Order: sequence, then C-alpha cells, then structure tokens
Amino acid sequence: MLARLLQSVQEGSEIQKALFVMVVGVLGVFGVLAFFFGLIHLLRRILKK
Amino acid sequence: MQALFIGFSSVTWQDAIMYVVGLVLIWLAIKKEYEPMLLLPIGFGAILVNLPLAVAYEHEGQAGFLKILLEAGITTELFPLLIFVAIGAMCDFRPLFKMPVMIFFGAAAQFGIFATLLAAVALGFDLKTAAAIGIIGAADGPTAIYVASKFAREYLGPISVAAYSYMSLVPLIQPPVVRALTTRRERLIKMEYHEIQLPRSLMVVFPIVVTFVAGFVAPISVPLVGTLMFGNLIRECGVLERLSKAAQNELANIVTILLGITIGSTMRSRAFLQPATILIILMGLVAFVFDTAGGVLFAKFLNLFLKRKINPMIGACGISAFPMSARVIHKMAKQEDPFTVILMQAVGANVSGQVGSIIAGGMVLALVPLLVS
Repeated sequence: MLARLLQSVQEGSEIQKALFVMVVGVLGVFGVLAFFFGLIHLLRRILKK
Repeated sequence: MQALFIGFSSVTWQDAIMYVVGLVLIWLAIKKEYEPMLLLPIGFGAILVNLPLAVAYEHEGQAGFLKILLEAGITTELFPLLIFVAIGAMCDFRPLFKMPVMIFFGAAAQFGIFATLLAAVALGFDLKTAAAIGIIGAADGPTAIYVASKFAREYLGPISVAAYSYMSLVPLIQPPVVRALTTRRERLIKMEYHEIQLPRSLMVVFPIVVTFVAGFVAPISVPLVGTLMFGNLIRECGVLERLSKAAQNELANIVTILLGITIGSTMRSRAFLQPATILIILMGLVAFVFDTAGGVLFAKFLNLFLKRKINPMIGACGISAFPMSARVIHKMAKQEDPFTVILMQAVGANVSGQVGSIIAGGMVLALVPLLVS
C-alpha cells in the first residue's frame, strides 16, 4: 500500500509531492522525537539503578 | 594601455550592487551585531568574488583560494559538518533530560520548514529548490547550508544569508507572532520546575544511542546527527576536556571564518541579482513566522488536555536558534509578570529545537530524492 501511495505521489504534480513531504516530514519529525522522548525516560530509569 | 585599467573597465553595475550588499552585511555585523561571526565574512566574501576579474575565485583557468575552499569545504559538505561537531560540543542536553516533554516543541516548531516548502512550490520553484528554501526555517545555519549544498547550490548564498540574518532577528520576529497567537492570561501561566539529579552515564550513553538509532532508522541523516553527537560525546565523556574546548573554540572559530567567506564567494552578481533571491529572502521570514506559530499553537493544543498548563510562549522556543529564542521568550514572560520564571523550560525546548532541526533536515534529505526523478 505504501509503495502504491509513493508511486502515485511520484506521478503527481509538484504540489502533491510538496504536500507529501510536508505531511510525512512533520509526522516523521514528531515520530523520531517521540522515540527520543521514550528513550530519555528509559535511559533515565535504567541508569538511575 | 587598456590592460592597465582593466580593473576599472571590467566592473559592471551588477558588481557595484554586490559591493553595496557586501558592505551592508559588514555594517549589520559591526554596527548592529547581527550574527557578526558569519555576516562579516559573508559580506567580505561577496565583495571579493565580485571584484574585477574575480581573481580570488578563478583566474585564467586556475582556481583561486575561494574556489578551492568552496570545492573542499562546501561541495564536500565538510564545513557544515565540522560546525556540527563544534555545536555538539557546546550543547548541554541537561535541561531537556530534566523535562523530556519539551522535546515535542522541537518538533512542532519545525512546521515552518514544511509550510514554506509547500509555499515555495506554489510560487513555482522545483521541489529540490523549495526544500532548500524551506530549510531556512530550521533556524540552523549549518543544516541550511548542508541541505542547500545538496539540493540548490546556485541559491546557497541567499539561503545562507537569509538563515543567519533571521536567526539574528529572532528578538524582532518572535514576540509579535507570540503576542498575536496568545492571550495575556495564557502568557501569565506559571510553570513549576523541579530540580532533579541526572546520572552522568545518561549524558554519555545518549549521544551514542541516538547515533545508532539515526544510523538504522534514517541512514542519510548520519552525517548530521553523527557529527553533532560526536561533539556532544567529547563534551560529556569527562576525559577529553582539551578536545571539548578545542571543538568549542578553535574548531568552531576556524571553520566559521572559512565557512563565512566561502558562502560569500557564492554570491556572484550574475547568480545573486535575480528576482528569486528576493523571494528566497522573503520566504525565509515566512518560515520563521510559521515555526514560531507552529510551536505556540502546539502548546495551546496540549493545554486542552493537560491539568498543569504549559505557558504557550514556550512553544516558540522549539526553533533551533539557541540560546537567543529561550532568552527572548523568558524576557517576554518577565515583562508580563516579573515573578514568572520559565527560563529552564525555555532552554529545554530550545535545545530540543536543535535536535528537531537536524531531524527535519534528515527528513527532507530522505524524502525529496524519492520524489524527484
């Protein structure tokens, strides 16, 4: 499904591509930093012991 | 006889305009102290490269020192990466580790990058150039230079000048946006701060783990994340104090000088004096405004669900301009209520902005090539 979505965006207009980068980019940054948020909590807990 | 006056006869009115641009940058650096470490070398480089015959850049087929620096430091992306080592050595993640929730503002305040990218495409720029323009919103000079050198080298000059100029203008850009999006009652929200002890091992393990995560999840971001975390590990390991100081001082200073003058050398009159340059400069401002708005509105959104409310001004600190943004927001909070202290929260959000801007840069670097044939 992801591959099909990517292919349709690749064949789409420049605006569609920019929208794709915007949505995936914003979600991606939140996702990675959310992971770091969990990581900091985890490391704090593990390394406290 | 003509050869004697070739310097005067070969100058063009476009070159003359670039002398003025260079002198204005030098004036801003000296008189207004707007990012002087970068704007002064950029301004001087812009003058050097537009002097008659541009001998400092290239002469009779031989590369001049500016071209050598450009090819060695920008084309290879070496200078921005060395700057990241220095920034990593200057970065103290403790305020973030004490309040990890602040990391989300480092994500929200990258919104300007993507909104500006979309706006740039709507204005007719191709996706790669639009991405390079949007990254001005990272409020992070080295990231902007790194992405621009990969996607739009012809616009490296205006993108770098916009990035550094707006970083220095944060005290003028952010307050009106924050005021427009918040009520006085919201700006008066007090936040508690609890001092907690952090294990030293956390400071050492964090940069190593983050590098591994970046390497496996987004390999293309490794040069950015890896150099930042390498610098931070030197700082935090506790056994490399000399190297840490060298990275923070000598390395940062030498590379800044070379980076600045080399960026200036990309501002040749033919390439710089285009309508696109004005658009790029204007869109950089749009990016900073959207960044600030993204952070503030995200804080307001979180407040819908939180019992202990967050002062939404903190959201504006999620940009990477450190420590300027934290200072500006803390000063605003003090103006609203002299007894309000939100400096530690602001610094935590500001530090996470530095991580967020690099992640956003990595995202752009990973996504755009997928869509451009």
